[in-house]
Amino acid sequence: MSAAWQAVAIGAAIDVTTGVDGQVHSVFDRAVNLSVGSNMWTIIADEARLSPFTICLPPRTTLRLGETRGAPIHVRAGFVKFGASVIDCRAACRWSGVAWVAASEGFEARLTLTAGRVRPVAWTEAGALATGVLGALSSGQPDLLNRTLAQTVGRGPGLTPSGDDVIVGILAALMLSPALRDGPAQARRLTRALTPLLRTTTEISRHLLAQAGQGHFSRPLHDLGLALHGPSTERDLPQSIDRALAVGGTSGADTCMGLIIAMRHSNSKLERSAA
Amino acid sequence: MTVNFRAYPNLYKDSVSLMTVSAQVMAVPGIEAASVVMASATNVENLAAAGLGTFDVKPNDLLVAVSGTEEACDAALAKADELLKASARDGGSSETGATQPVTSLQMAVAKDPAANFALISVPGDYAAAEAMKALHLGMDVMVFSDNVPVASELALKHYADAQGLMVMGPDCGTAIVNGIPLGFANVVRRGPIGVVGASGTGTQEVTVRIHQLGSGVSQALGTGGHDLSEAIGGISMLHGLKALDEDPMTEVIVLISKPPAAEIAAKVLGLAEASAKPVVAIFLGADPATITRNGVHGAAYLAQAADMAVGLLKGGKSGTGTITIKPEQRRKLEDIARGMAAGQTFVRGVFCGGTFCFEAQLIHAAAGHTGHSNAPTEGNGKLADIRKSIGNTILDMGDDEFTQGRPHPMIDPSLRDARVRDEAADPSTAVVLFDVVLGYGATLDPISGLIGVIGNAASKAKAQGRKVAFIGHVCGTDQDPQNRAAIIQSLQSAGVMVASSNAEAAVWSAAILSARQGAAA
Repeated sequence: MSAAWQAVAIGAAIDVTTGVDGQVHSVFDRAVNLSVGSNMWTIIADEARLSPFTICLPPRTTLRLGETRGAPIHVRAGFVKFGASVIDCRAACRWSGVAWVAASEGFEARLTLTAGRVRPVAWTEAGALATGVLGALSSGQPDLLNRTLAQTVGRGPGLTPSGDDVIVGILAALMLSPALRDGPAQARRLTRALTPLLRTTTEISRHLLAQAGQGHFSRPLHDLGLALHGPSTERDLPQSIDRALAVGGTSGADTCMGLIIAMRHSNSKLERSAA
Repeated sequence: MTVNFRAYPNLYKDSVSLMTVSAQVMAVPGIEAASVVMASATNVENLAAAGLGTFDVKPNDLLVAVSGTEEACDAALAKADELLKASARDGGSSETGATQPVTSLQMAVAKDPAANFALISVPGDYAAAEAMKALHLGMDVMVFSDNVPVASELALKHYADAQGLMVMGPDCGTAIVNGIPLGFANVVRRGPIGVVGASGTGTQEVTVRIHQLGSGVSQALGTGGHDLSEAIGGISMLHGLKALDEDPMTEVIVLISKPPAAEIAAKVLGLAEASAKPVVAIFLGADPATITRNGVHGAAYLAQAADMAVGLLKGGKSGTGTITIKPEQRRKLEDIARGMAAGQTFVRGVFCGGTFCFEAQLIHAAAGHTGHSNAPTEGNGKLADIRKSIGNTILDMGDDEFTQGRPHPMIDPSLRDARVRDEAADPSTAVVLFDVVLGYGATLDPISGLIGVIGNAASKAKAQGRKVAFIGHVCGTDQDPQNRAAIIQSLQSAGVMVASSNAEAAVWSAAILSARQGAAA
């Protein structure tokens, strides 16, 4: 089956101009994953779910690509061609995440509101996993961190196991939140410890974790962080929470759990050290 | 209690699907525990710890593990199997609304006031009006549309010239502006050579060759095919030449055209001579000696023009740029000619690019092989019936006669492929000569039909005791949307001799014809 689409937006980490080959990795109802070089790109039809490695097609595009799994891909001069189908990315907008601003008044209340929405939807063990990872990270004991991560990576339900989603949320908080002063250093330690464990989880999750380790996060997560840090309107935060939770089955919620608990954990540490 | 499981290697289902499957499996009567998870190391360990079995699986496998009565486990696994293999539902919901489309040049400029260039591609009847609107908004214009009256073209160009703006076209199919390919154009490196071309495929051949020689293109400006006529007076060519002369990025300028009216040629060459930068000029069909003057270097063929421009950059000398056949290639061509059947005498050129057709005729004529064409150069005859080749025939399949109501063969090569098939079947055909044009605007799959045609034609010819020489040229770069290397490899695997330029392909073809004539004598 042949088809031609115009991409409306592409993530900032994607280079569609340099010639490269790959193959269709996996095909879903509303997304297609492509293995391109050492990266994984995703094709979707919903701009609200962009990420740095996403190609977004016009709304309501039906991705009828069931037969193309494993098909070779050729990326050339703004086109992504696979089988008889082609995506023209030349006129697509570039999406990149906006930096989070310093937390404004009401941050703690917004965090509480978000936690209240997220907790009932997330996997039951997600909170404990996040707390365990953050505790091991702040303990300064490499062995404890390695052991904890080995019990977290690849753990739980979902195409991207919940434990992995939690870690992505933690990394987002550490890397993006200006409130966490030692966040980037902690993120580097966490990323280093994660690297040897990536092979133990699913391939899609492996890419997601590797991308998170490089500071690449999805738009729902970016937008939620912006709304949390404020200043934001009354509608911004609930909408951002809804969009973050709409990702996957529990993936969105589990990622949010990692994010919220990391912010809480670091905030309380900061408060303690200030006291 | 029984424990059972099923693994699905490399099966990916989104999380929502997995949750749905999990819930339905759990709901099977007699099932005590069930897990539908990706088989990551941690999940496998946990399932084992929970007594749901041990598994020989990989992280990308999907695992369904159940415990319960034996019948329940079988039913649950069957249910999971059914659900996981169910055909995918249509997806694609969205929370984003459509943005208001831009429907006029005014709207576009209001949205982005920095816009200073308009590409007009509307039916010819409306093109001049739209182009004038763009000029009034202070934009340079490329008019891709054809069938614009000469009077309208003149009015547009006079107005633009007075405003210091440029009109590329009408019928301007190729340009590269600030590194952006427009119309039918290739992805080439940016660099110090500027091009002004009155010929689309001519400009493509020169810019592609410059890229292949390791240099790059600052700007490639089109003028449209009528610009150097007496009626228009070369307004766009002169504007483009001045613009490149003033462009700090441009070090060498290349001018491309079929021979202009004498008065216009004098004007263009006069301005070129006055330029502070070296200029390579090719007026296809004109003797280079009549072009060459102080600071202006005449070229005979498109590839030569590129070679000379790059030569001027590298060593300060234009070189001769002549196309020679290497001894081993000449021997190969002679061998091929010797292997042909009696009566195989003629070349049949089937071209997508009009300028390639033109250049191929010139080269064959220079070697003494004149013939016919639907767009004949001097010395060749006009085909009475374009569907029927006579003797040596070199066709421009992109000409209006072939494209009425059909896409251009660069977009849909099926008509070209059919003609290649017909020409190869003619017992008098010695050489089938063709081009494959890559780049933006051209089809992303230019040869899959052609490869089949050539394979079949070669087999049929062999069965009849003939051997047809297929000679092709691929005009494109390694950065074009199509995969140039793979295309060349496919052609060569099909037995096509792939030349490095259109001129070289024509020279090879003419050499075979000469050898055939020698054999006949």
